[in-house]
Amino acid sequence: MPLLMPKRVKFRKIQKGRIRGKATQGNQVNFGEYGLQALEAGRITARQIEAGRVAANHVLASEGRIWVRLFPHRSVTSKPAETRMGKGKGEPDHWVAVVKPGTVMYELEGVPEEVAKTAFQRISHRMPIRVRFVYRKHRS
Amino acid sequence: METAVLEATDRQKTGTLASRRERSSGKIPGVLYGHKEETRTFVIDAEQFIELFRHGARMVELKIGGNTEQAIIKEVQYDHLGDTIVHVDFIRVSMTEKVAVSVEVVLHGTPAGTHEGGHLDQPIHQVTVECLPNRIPEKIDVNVVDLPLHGSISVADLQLPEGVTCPMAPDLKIAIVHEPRGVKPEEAEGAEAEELEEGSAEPEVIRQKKEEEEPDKKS
Repeated sequence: MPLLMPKRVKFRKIQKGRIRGKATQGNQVNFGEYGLQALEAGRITARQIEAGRVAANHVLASEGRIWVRLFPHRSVTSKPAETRMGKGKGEPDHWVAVVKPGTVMYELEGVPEEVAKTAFQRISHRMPIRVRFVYRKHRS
Repeated sequence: METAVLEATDRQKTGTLASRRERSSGKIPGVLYGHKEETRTFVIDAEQFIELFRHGARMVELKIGGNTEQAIIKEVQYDHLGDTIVHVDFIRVSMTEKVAVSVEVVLHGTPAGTHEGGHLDQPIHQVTVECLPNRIPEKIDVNVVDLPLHGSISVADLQLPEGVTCPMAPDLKIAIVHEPRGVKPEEAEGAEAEELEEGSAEPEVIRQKKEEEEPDKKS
């Protein structure tokens, strides 16, 4: 499976910006029974998202179902090595997903809790931010 | 379901700052509305509410400033991490009018289909039921032990208590036993190797099309 990337974008390059605030949407386990929730703000690269998914699939084998609730919408540019400053913005290098505290990044269903915890622990080792294991909330 | 009693105090000040102060002093801001009566804002004790909410209370007898109001918990708002309750909505109910509430569906047992390699999937975790306020079921239990591979349980198959109806589409699936859809380990490894090679392609830029069209118009 190739790395995640948008099919069409309005602009190839966008400004860096700052990640402010907390997750007001996508902060609940909606699809599976267990979830992996971000506790910090950060940028998750397409490579990290895919590495997490593959690591979880190794644990799950053919059991259960995994949902990846991140998509790398933002491009990050970089300048080539040994280049003088100036001459405009660098070229798009990779794609990242912006994550705010509270965002549920992955969800799992159809496996025992212990297996889900192991899978999420493997994912957490591939994430650049602090994360935690959460359950689906049965709300009224 | 039993009706829980909840003490509430009228709120003098509303807004973010006032609510924040209340929360820091162990209270939860709440609002009561419905039945074309006056909307009331109040605070409730956080510990008391959390305890009865965790025990599955839906119907509440609110005691606000000497008045008693029958209400059901309409919505509970949590913070961004889903840990702390930040606000509660109550809606007035009449004990003689039916209400629509969502009730949790709990599956019991291991389906027979899973012994044949199947996987139990629960697409819907809550169903909407219509009943009198004093008849709201705490949960709906579903036994899935006899469910074979490719078998399913739909809304129509639910055994609802007396006086409780479900307005949802009867063919909506509650539980399905299907063949596993996961990726095999060999495939996953292949994907990992493939991904390392890819990643240089760029997406199509929406604006480029217009730029290409413009020179044609000028010429």
